Amino acid sequence: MKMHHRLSVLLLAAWAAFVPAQAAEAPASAPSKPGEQLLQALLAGKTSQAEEVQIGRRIAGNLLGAAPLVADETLQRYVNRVGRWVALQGERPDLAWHFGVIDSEDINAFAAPGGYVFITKGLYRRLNDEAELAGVLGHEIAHVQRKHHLKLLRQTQVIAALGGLLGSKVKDEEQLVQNLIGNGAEIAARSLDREAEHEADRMGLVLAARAGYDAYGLPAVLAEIGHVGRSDKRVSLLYKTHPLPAERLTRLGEAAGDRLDTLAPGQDGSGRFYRLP
Amino acid sequence: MSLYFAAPLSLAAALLLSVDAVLAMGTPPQAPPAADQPAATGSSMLKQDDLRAGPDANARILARLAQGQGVKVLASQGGWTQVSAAGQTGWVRVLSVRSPAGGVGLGEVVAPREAGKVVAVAGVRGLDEEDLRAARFDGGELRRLDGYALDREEAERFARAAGLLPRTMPYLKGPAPAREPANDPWGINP
Ligand SMILES: [Zn+2]
Repeated sequence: MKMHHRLSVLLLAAWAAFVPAQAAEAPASAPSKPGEQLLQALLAGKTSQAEEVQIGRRIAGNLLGAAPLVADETLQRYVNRVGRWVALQGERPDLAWHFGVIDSEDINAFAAPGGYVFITKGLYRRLNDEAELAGVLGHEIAHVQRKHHLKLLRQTQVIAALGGLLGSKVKDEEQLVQNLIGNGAEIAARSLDREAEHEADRMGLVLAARAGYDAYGLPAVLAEIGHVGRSDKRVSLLYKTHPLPAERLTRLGEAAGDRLDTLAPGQDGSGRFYRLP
Repeated sequence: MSLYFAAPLSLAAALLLSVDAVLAMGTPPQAPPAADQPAATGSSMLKQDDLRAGPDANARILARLAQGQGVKVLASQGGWTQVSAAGQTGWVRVLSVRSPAGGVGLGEVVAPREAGKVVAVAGVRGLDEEDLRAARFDGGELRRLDGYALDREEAERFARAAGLLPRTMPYLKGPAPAREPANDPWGINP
């Protein structure tokens, strides 16, 4: 990590040196194609909500290509009710939120920009009640709210743009969006900064509590996942992209301190919880 | 071509050589476990906390348990875990106890839910890095996903019917901001 950081600083300095030089040679002209606009918006960190959704939708469609939705309409509608309600407790209540349970025995959950949230059947099966579902969805909702994956994309694109790797190959807008996100849904397999994960845990816990749920749903899920052996293939991607459950729980406990003591008990919603057939 | 332009270009070329290195480091292997990993057996206090007579922050304090002290987990209720330690039985915050499995106090009272269940290996659909990289856009599934989405009013109706009462609660604070710049290693956030 330390090395990564030093390299980043070096790159940043070079980027700063490169930009004014380019401007001097070729005066800035308005981007001619919508695709270029999207790239420039991403690089400047000024992606509009519509552009964010466009990127997220592409990632979501690719992810569904890897694992389709579980063919259970009752399940999908149920998860959307809980997820949408939890998302209403955050700063982006009016995004067009989408929630889906995808058909994979892996134990994992994913978020894509613009309000796309997925949980695998393997993780859903290990949940005990609605408060736990709310906590898991809350963690992913927090990633969307804080635009964690957009920031990850931007970091990649700063590098790619330096070499003009993108502009030359672009055919149409959808192609450009695909170029932006890399191959398929590989962005979903990339690690965010560890602090972003701890932040998503802290926010996910609070979003579920705000929604009226027991605040200990997310910690309970982390404890449950901790029972799965580290060598179990079903958790290998989760453990590669996230800190280990024990570390996440430790950090949640430090952040919570005595702050949850005065919180009135919430619902666990176990009576409503939809169990997989 | 001015020198002014040529220099940054070669700089850019040098940078591109580093691209793979940086991208590879974007997905670092899992770091080794933190130094304060749980002891192999038994639960212990993750942090110092008061042992109380009941599962309530206002309950009488029986003792103060030090970080690392071994405890035996007996039960769990809401945000509290019942433990016995040094000859006394009482309650501590659930997030203050670490179970041997690496979880918090919840870990022991919440039994592994799939224990004994046979997991078929053949035909199980995993979702690893390779699957994700190779994934092809599925517009049909995306439209199905759209069909399940709810609007704000529908979600509020669900919450009302379920008796879920919204409440205000500020976000929990993270560690001191000195650790935060790692979130934005490029320094390009607006
Ligand atoms: Zn996460």
